[in-house]
Amino acid sequence: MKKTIIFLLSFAICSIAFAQNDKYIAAMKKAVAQVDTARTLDDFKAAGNMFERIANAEKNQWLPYYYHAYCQVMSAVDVMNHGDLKATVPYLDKAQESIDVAKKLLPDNSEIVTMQGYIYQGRIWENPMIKGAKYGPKSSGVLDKAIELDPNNPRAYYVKGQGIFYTPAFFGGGADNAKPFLEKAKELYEKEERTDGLSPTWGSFYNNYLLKEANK
Amino acid sequence: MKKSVLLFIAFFTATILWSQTTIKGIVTDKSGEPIIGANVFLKDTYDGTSTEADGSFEFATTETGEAILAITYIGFEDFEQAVQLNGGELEINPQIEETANELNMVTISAGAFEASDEKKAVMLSPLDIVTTAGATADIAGALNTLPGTQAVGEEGQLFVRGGAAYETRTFIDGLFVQNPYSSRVPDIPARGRFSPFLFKGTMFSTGGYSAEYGQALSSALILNTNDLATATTTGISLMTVGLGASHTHLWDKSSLALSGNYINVAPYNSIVPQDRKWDKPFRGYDGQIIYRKETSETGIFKLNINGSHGSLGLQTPGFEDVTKTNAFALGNDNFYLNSSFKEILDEHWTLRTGLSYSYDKEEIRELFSVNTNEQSAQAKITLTNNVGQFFKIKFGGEYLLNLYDQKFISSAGEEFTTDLTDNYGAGFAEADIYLSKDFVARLGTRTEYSDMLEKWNIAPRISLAYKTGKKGQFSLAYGQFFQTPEKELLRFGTNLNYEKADHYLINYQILGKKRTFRIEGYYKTYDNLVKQENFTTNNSGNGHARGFDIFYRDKGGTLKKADFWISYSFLDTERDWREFPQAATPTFASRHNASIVYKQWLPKITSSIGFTYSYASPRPYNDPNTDGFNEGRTPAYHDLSFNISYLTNIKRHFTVLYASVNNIPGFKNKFGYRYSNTPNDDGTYTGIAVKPAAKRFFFVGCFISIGQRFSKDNGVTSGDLN
Repeated sequence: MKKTIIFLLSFAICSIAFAQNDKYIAAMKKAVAQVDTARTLDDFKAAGNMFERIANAEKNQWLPYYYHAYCQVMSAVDVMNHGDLKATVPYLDKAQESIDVAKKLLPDNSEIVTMQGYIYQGRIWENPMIKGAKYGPKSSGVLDKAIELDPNNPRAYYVKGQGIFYTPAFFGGGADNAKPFLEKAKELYEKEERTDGLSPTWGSFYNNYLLKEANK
Repeated sequence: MKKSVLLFIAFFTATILWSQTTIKGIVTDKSGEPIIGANVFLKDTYDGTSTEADGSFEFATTETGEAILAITYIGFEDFEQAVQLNGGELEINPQIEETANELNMVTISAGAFEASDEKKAVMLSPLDIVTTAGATADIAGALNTLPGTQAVGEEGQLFVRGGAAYETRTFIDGLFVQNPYSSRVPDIPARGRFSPFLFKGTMFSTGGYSAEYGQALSSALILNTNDLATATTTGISLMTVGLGASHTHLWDKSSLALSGNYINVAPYNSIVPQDRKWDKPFRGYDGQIIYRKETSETGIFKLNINGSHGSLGLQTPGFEDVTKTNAFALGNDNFYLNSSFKEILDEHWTLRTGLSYSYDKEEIRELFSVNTNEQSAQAKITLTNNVGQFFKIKFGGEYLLNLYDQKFISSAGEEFTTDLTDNYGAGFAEADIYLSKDFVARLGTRTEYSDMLEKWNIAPRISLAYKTGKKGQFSLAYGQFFQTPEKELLRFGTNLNYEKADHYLINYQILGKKRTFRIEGYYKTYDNLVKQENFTTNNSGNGHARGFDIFYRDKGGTLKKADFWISYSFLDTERDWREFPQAATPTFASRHNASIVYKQWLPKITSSIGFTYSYASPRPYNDPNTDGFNEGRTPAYHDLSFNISYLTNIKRHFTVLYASVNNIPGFKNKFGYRYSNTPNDDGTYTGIAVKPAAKRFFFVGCFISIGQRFSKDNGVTSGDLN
């Protein structure tokens, strides 16, 4: 009897520990599925909220913070596309907060560094003429580092190509200069496989769109 | 055994069911509007949800006991509330509060024109300064298109609301700049010594400014230098008046920039006819060293070193007889070092320190000769404490040592020497008290002591601002301002007091996304102005200035890819000072001033063109042949300037081709009249008009950036240029 109780108790404790991890995986899978299909501002906000709640419960996992930052950046993209340039600032501030935590949990990770490059790129939108001179080169430098950390990360090439695409040609930007990066990204996206169901795979949709525009 | 296990499981399940709590409610803002998509959750758990379209939420939790309900939403303060989870249903209807930030918070705006890429109240960005036609990339030149300034074409400095040029002081990173302009040459406008590209922000205050700044009766020009360089680049500039080169290197946490220019106006003068006779057109060279080091994530050390040498010679009208000219020659050496350190100590305290050293040597030869040496060293410390979101306090102190010596030898060979030493100290404290995010009061005071004058002063400053809506706000300001008399007046004795001004301002502004409108009325009184009779001085002078300024800027709001602003200033001023026999309007004050600045970006030819029209009503001058004083009036002043910048690549190096011309229609401007000191044979004084050195000024330049980062793959800026 005593043995049984001890066995039961230790089993319960173990299963709580396992359950915690299962809970994390299950919550993340749900949230990642949501972000994979997100298109509108409301989608990204809702997915962002889910990642924020997971990060709130699991303070040592970098992925929830990373995805939370991604949702904020995509929200900023949406408000920017609707012409409200100043409104991008609070989203990017929040993205920066989360990516700072992710960086501390896992330094020198190509995905995290790429997200930092995307955030810097987003800083330009508030006022391209003024912010561009500061954040253009800053973003570009960070993305170079992301490529160096993992030369097979398609997102590093895509975000970099995107930055060049929207830079005026006389500053060394434009479609022609962006193309090699977008093509490299496409090649890597095609090879990319998600094995754990959680790792980042975003970006190929817009990469294909930009590549199509660049080939016009 | 089996039973006990079953019992255990049943008990366990029951506990879970029994202890499950449902939390529901509606999240609203302070005005009761529902918040959609807010994140509602229990801290440190997975339990939570997003609010629906009506602001409602509902979720279940198996947690028990004390927990914290948290709500986050973009643009709103994080909300937290302790809750007791005892099973059953818990209803909570939280109101969350909008974050007070730069975008929605009231700011002190009376008197201030901010030009910055960091702040909300952007009136002019550094790039705007460079692309303003007629300004020839000079900071003061561009600020002269803002209201509150008076066009004084022969000086090239800022004259603000009836104040003389010396009443506007320039500060770089909080420190005094001893010689912000090139040396004064009779009737030739001075230029600023600093390039607008050095600064990330410019605040031009036409009155009522912060207690942090002193020794300026009328106006403060506050310049904040750039942070770490953004890229490694090499630049070459070729201009009609000279050439320059620069190199910037960026490391991980530091950057170093070296640059130098050689200026020689002789070739230009040989092509473009000049109305003045130049014996030796201006020739000079200058060099800069700019070093930045990020000492931590939040700390930055800045060092700026600037050195220059220049000389020129030209014919100037004689003092005794203006129809005869004398050779005037000037040589100038200037050195300026400015270093500062800023660190955010913790979440409340920010520290700023600065050290500067200036050296200026000037030699003038005419029939007389003047040799002047001036040095100053300054130290300053400022601490800012953000006690809370709605209370901020700033205080600090500064010390300035100034050494001035001048040797004047008259045409008759008499020698006068002036030797002045001043130990000056000041302390200041200022509190920003937000009664709400729509109402702020700034209370400040400044005290100064000069051991040369052996006098103290205490200057109170008060500003209030009230936001009337999303875009509009009212401001009021009052302040006292003191300034040590100019060196030329102190050579007759240092037994003088500070000159003093009182400012009263009322301001209303509407800040839209693309349009800005502001109107400001002011009244200023002057006391203790220095009067000079023969070789004695005293503080019995006084005066007043009153008027209003109007400013409207439209940045792409009405015309596509066009940016324009309109300024108008009305000024009514009189003063009794210096050698005036009675109160009169000084020669630098014109009643009406207006400017229209227009810029158009032409994407097809990647060019920006700009026009500036400036007007100033007639200015007083004194005709000794009449009874009155300062009763003559010059013709009105007009100028229409044009510039074009063409952006391109030369061999993949980013290049700007720039051309500008001032006074296209060739208006015959007269700035005043100069009279002979002694009457001619028939008893009248002969006068000649003071005119620009040439009717028009042309400038053509080419600026090339050779940076591997510019051309190869990554850009400098992104998105549409306008």
